[in-house]
Formats: sequence, structure tokens, C-alpha cells
Amino acid sequence: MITPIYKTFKVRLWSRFVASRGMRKVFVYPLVIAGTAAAGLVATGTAASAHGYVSAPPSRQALCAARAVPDCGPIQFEPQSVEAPKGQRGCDGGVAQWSVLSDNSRDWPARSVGSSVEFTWVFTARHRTANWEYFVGNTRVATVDGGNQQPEAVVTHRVDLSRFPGRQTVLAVWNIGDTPMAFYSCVDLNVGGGGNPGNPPPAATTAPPTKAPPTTKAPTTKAPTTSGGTWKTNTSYKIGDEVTFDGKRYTCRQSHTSLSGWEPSIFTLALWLPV
Amino acid sequence: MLAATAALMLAAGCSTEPRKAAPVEAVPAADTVPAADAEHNSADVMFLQMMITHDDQGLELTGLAADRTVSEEVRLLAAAIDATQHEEVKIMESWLTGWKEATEASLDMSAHTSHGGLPATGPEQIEALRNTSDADFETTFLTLLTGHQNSAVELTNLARDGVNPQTKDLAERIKQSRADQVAQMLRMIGG
Repeated sequence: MITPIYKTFKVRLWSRFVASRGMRKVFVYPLVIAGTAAAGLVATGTAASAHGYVSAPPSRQALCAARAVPDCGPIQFEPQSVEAPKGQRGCDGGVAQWSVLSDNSRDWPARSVGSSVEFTWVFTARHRTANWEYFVGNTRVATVDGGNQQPEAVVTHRVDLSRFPGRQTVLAVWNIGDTPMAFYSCVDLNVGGGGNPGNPPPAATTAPPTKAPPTTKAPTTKAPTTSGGTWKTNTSYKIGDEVTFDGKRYTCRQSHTSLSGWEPSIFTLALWLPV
Repeated sequence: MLAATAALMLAAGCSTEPRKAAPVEAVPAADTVPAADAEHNSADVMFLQMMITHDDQGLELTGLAADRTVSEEVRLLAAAIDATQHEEVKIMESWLTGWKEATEASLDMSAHTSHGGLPATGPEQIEALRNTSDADFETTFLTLLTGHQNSAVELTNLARDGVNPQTKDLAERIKQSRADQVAQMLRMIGG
């Protein structure tokens, strides 16, 4: 039950923030500044309520979360958490817990792109933003003012990397406006190596559409969609498909690609009904 | 993690939009809802209340996708998320009701967040998605929903301090399913 007091509170809270900001794309012109200008602020111990990472082209943590690079450890469950004081220049933000991200022996796949690259961010909390910065090595190649505002629904930045052809690791930094913290994402690119949408990703694979081999059924069974077999993850199931899981038979009632956590059970009756 | 939780607490209780209807592909739902043990504590209650709010916000996103032109792959994922989250909300509400607890987060919980950041998905983001052109809709939808499900994974950490076995079981399923959904969506976005 929502009380009137609560309603007032809610409206006041939300009205502090500008509504209906669109999804303008910010175009950034190259701004080559040697060295790092960021001040080495000391963390006060107050964690920022902000989390985010670069989703496209995929950052290292995005590749981990997508399982395109396996065995990354806990970062695969929280790619948004590479948070550290401002001024860091490592892919892990200097945080030991995320050191896998700065381990170049992991053979991070580099996405082939043109000389101008559009970076897209995913947020799990939208803190006021000082700015975004993009680095190649210690060279800051672009900066975007955040206006100390909450990020838009989707944030994309186009960055000109024509001065940096070939294999590069771009460090993308989200500097928070009201805390000393920043979020770090490294993106491995092959600049000038293509970039048309038809380019296949080096490592990421889409869910294989493979189905379990059909069990031998009586020829009178009419449903051609019945796939039989044992339920598996990463499998495309259609309405009417039947599987076995945990000794029980289920029929699919909502077409989907299976995933862990969506096993047939009392919790997933929206997907699977016991036969 | 605490900070992220604080942001989510803000989200809890802020959703007043009605839930969208189930997608067209779903057949009528079975009415079976798993029972939960009586034993529970405040962490169980908080997790379930906040997860209901979070699921509802996700349902606003998937509800928008149902009316727009997206690839078959995205349409099916959105429909399956929509169906499963409706089911989860029904289950979580029944457990809270059985414990005689509110099914929404309290003012007190939300008040703690006045100093915190904003959650991934609020009225502005939903409105922005609604106003997104057809050409940009799929990418915007996937990007917003990826962040939303990333934060669902964070939210499941609240259940660690709980004692109710069914709640812990559900939290683990939510953690796994959201992480796998994120994996699917990141492959679609970055593919």
C-alpha cells in the first residue's frame, strides 16, 4: 500500500532529474592530449552508487559476461563493477579483484572497426557524470563532458581513432560527478581493419540452434516439433517441444533459447509445463 | 555492492505502472504456485519486495518490445523474459502475502537512497525507449535491458542474509538466468 507521504516523496525525488532527455548521439572530435590530466584523487571510502561498462564494441568485461572469453571469475556476473578512484590507467582500475581484465595473456579478441568508432555504455545505476574519457596508452584521444547530469537512457560516443591504426586497447573511463570514483572499460580493437556490420566477431558466438537429437518415438506421434531428449542450455525450443529434466517430462509453451536458471521447474511454468 | 543495492532500493516502490499482459504466444497459465516455508527473516522480505519492483520495471521494457519491430531472436527473448518474470512476480507476491508482509518496498527502504545514485531503469528510461525510433529501438531495448538484468544479479546478493530456503533457491535461479540473459543480449549487441 502506497501512502500519500510516500507518493510525495517519490515525486519530489524523481522531479530532481530532467525528464525526457533523448538519445542524442554525442560526436567527439579528436582531442589529443599527451599525458594524463586527471588529478589523483584519494578515495574517501564512499562508494559511488553508479555502475556501468562499455557494451559495444565489447569491452573485456563484456566479453567475460557474454562468455566469449571463458573463466573470467566473478566479473562475468558484474561487468559493471570495475570501479576505482579517478586517474587509473589500467583495464582493472587497479583493483586486484578484477586483475583478469589487465591480463594480456588472456588473448582478448580485437574487434575489427573503421577509423571512427562508436562506443555504447550500459548502466546499472545512473550517477551524475563529470565526463567520459578515452585513452590509447597514456594519450587521451577524446573527452566528453557529462555536465554533472544523469546519463541519458543510452549513451554512445563516436571517437576518431584514425591516428591509431592497427591493434589497440582503448581505455574508456566514466568519471563520476559527485564522488571521487570512476568506472573503467578496456576495449580491444583492430582500427582500420574493417568495421562493416558484416564482419563476424572474432570470438563471440551466438547461441547454437542445435537441438537435442530426437528420441525414437512411436510413428503415430504427430507433433513434428517434439524434440525429445534431455533439456540443455543454449538450445532453441519451440512451443510443443518436449524434454526430460530431472526425471520428468515437460512440454514447451513459450518459444525461447534455454539458459541456466530457466530449467524446467515449478518456477518456470511460463516456459515448461509438466506433461 | 552496497551502493548498488542502495540505488535499487530507490527503484523499489517507485514502480506504479500496471503490469503488461503476457505475450501473445503464451497459453493460459497454470495456477500452480510453489509454496514457501514459514521461516523467513527481514532479508528474505527485502529481497522479494525489491525483486518484485525490479521485475515489474523489466516488464515495462519487455512490454514495449512486444509492440515494436525487432528481430525474431530478440522478440523471443523478450517474450520469454516477459512470461517468466510475470510468473516470478506471482510467486514472490504469494510468499510475501503468506507471511503477511507487504508486497511492495516500504518508504523507509526508499528513503535511504536519497543520497544515492539512480537505478538503471526508471520512468525516464522507459519513456525514452517508448520514444525511440524503429531504427534504433532494438539496440536501445537490448542496452537498457542488459543494464537492468545486470542489476538484478546484484540484487540477488540481498538474499544471502536470508533464511528461507525457497527464497534462496529462487534468488540463485534469478542470478543465473539474468546472467545468461545478459550473455545472450551482449552477443546480440556486440555480435
